[in-house]
Amino acid sequence: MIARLGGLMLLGLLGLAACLAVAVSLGSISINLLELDDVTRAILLDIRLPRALLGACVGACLASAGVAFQALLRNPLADPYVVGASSGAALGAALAFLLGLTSVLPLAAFAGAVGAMLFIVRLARIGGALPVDTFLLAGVVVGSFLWSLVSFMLTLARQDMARIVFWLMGSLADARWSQLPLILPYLVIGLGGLYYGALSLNLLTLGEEAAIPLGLPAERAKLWVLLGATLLTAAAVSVSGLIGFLGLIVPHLCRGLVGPDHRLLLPAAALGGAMFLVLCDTLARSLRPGLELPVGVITALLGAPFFFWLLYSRRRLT
Amino acid sequence: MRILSALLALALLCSCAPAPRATTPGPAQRIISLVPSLTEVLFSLGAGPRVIGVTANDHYPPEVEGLPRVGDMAPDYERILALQPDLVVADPGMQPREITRLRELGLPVLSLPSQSLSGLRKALAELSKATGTEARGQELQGQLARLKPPPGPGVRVFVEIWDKPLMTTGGGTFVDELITLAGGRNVYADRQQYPSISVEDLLLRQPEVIVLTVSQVEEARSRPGWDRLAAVRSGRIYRMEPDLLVRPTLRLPQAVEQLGGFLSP
Amino acid sequence: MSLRGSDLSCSYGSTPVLHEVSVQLEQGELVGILGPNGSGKSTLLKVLAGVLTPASGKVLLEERSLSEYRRRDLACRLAYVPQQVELPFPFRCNELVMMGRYARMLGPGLQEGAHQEAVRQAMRATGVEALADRRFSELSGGEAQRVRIAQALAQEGQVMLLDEPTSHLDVAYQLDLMRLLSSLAAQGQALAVSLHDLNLAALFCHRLVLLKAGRVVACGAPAEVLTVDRLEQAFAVRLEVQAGPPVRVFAGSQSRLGDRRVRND
Repeated sequence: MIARLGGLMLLGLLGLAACLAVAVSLGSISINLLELDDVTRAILLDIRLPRALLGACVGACLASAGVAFQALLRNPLADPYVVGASSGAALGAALAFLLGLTSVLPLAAFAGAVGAMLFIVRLARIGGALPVDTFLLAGVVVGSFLWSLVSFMLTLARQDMARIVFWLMGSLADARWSQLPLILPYLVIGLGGLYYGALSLNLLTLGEEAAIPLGLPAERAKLWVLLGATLLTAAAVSVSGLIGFLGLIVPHLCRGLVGPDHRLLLPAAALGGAMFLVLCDTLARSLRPGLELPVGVITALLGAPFFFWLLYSRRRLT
Repeated sequence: MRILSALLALALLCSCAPAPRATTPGPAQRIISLVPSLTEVLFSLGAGPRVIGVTANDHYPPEVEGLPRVGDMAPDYERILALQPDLVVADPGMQPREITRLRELGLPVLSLPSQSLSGLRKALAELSKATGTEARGQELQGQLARLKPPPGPGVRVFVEIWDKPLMTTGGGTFVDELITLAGGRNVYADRQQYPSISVEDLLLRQPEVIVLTVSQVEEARSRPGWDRLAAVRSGRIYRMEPDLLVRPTLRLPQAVEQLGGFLSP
Repeated sequence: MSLRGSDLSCSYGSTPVLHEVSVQLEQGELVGILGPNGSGKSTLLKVLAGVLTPASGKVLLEERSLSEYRRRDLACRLAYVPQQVELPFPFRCNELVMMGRYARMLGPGLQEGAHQEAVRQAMRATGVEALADRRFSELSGGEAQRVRIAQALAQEGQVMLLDEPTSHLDVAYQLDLMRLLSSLAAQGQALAVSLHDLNLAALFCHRLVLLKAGRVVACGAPAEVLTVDRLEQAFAVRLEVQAGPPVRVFAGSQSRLGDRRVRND
């Protein structure tokens, strides 16, 4: 296990380094990396590098949160937004725009995501237990409710509508060095915590009836996994808006590559998510020079066809 | 994660090095405008040849067509940086976070809340100072100062800003100010910002004149309920170029004249 | 090592499922739990396994109540194989058996070396070594049951509870599986297994517990439990019984369904 993990990490980190290198060397203007002056150095170090690193962090957060939610809900179609985090964050962000508090936008989105999740857990808990089905149902219902609030606020704030919608589509355009400390601690703590419980994630996928007799304190484990995955999602959403599909497809791709054991799957997905988002964002910045696409559009453009393929192949299997 | 933190540390060190500054004393020579209306003001001041970058939404004056585009909703920071501007003009009402970011990158940003008549006057003053075109600035200020609302109660007018959903302007906006200067009275002056409204409410308010922007007169006439509007029946429904109507620029006298033409019986 | 449940009562909502049931399980013993659908067989096993907490009554493992054990400690002593497991993800058999070691691993359990031998042994004992690298979802019913028993064996406890392990298996696999269970009993395991097939129970189990509507109808050696009257009491059908050993039960021409209330659970 240690040898496989070591090999995976080495390969993944090399791949990530390569993706970061690509991201730093490409952009809406072309720069000769051998002849740098003050301006081009500033573009590389103050614009492209923080953006690439932020993209890596966000990608890692979303993909590992996706892995955790898929294990927790025992559903390969779950993603980080399946239970309210996205609608909560959207509500927080829309409020911040509406009240003109754009400087606390990340905080508002983060609070919205965590708040929505806590509310859903509270709703779905029955006598100390958190049945997964009830949780999912509560998540979907609360999510729809919060989305309708967001839509309502959008109609109130017509002049801010375009900006809110742009934010909702997900973008790393706001990337800067000062945002890395906003997300890195959550990535380290959330991913580290989930990894420490990787075996518990494995057991959760068996279902509680099978997992408990194997020694898993299921209720406690579910809450910890939920906490870790929520922090990862909220941190990602707070700096980048709602980047979709990544949290769904990267766990799948990685499961195909390294198998379903979370001891390998979690680091693989984190690294894979980082690489995927760094590359998607490079496309978003460079496809139409001077006019960037929201990176969420790129991930969805690549992700939606994949999703359909997944549905199709599942149907064929059963 | 190790490589990541190493990269991070390295980058933090590098970013401590002084960022490039292109500030030169004297009038700005390399200007980037992130607001279409301010681009127009710069051209009106005669500083047009010194504008080196505009947004994707800039179409006027025609000289902007050949200029590099540096973003639409989100500015393209690296293009802006690469163009080495000594002045970037932006609007804090539309781009609060973006202005912070541009300043972090060491760019000299002139933040001008310009989406009103008083904002336009202030922007004109600031920009003429920054570009060394004070004389032309004074002249233009004079043109604006000469605009006075005609006496009388004003013609009751409805301006359609958007069609689906139906949106108009409330009181206190630039469009509202323009209506007043042209001798009109906004039937929705009691509302704020740019409210969505219903046809029913519009029927109750019965404006004397309707001004469209994004839709065509024929299409508007055929909408359900619109045949009950006195303005439609009497044929006093017109269309105006949206940019001319909503952008606070020195084409204001022109806009006042055109709108005034629609309002006079 | 003994597992003793005394006066166990349990209900789902307001529906009572178990009513003052007492059972005992000793080392080296294979106990069959029989009864019609809805008689509480599965519930009894879940309560004995500590997955379900009884409303009243106690389960003692080595004279200590199950609730006093930490989950991990309990898993090192007692294994429970639920009726079926659905795997949403493509785990391989050796990974699945390794999960039986969860209670003995720390954190992410990267040091697997010590556990690999236990996994191999468990798979050898159940004859599934050759399936180690196969996906669990690709196995036949009989293979899958063996792998799940290997997982339970990898827990290295002395008590194993299995819920209808022979359902969905063809007759050859059923015999094969029961032989495996009785060989485990011969090695000192204490096993309780719920069964539908009365003859299979008579053939392999040392003792039988016959349930009806959550109550014990009879308990003891197969010859004492499998009598025409007791079976009729439990199943509401008159069957023919041929004295053994082994006792044989079959539906004769006289058998017919009596007044039988089917319970839902």
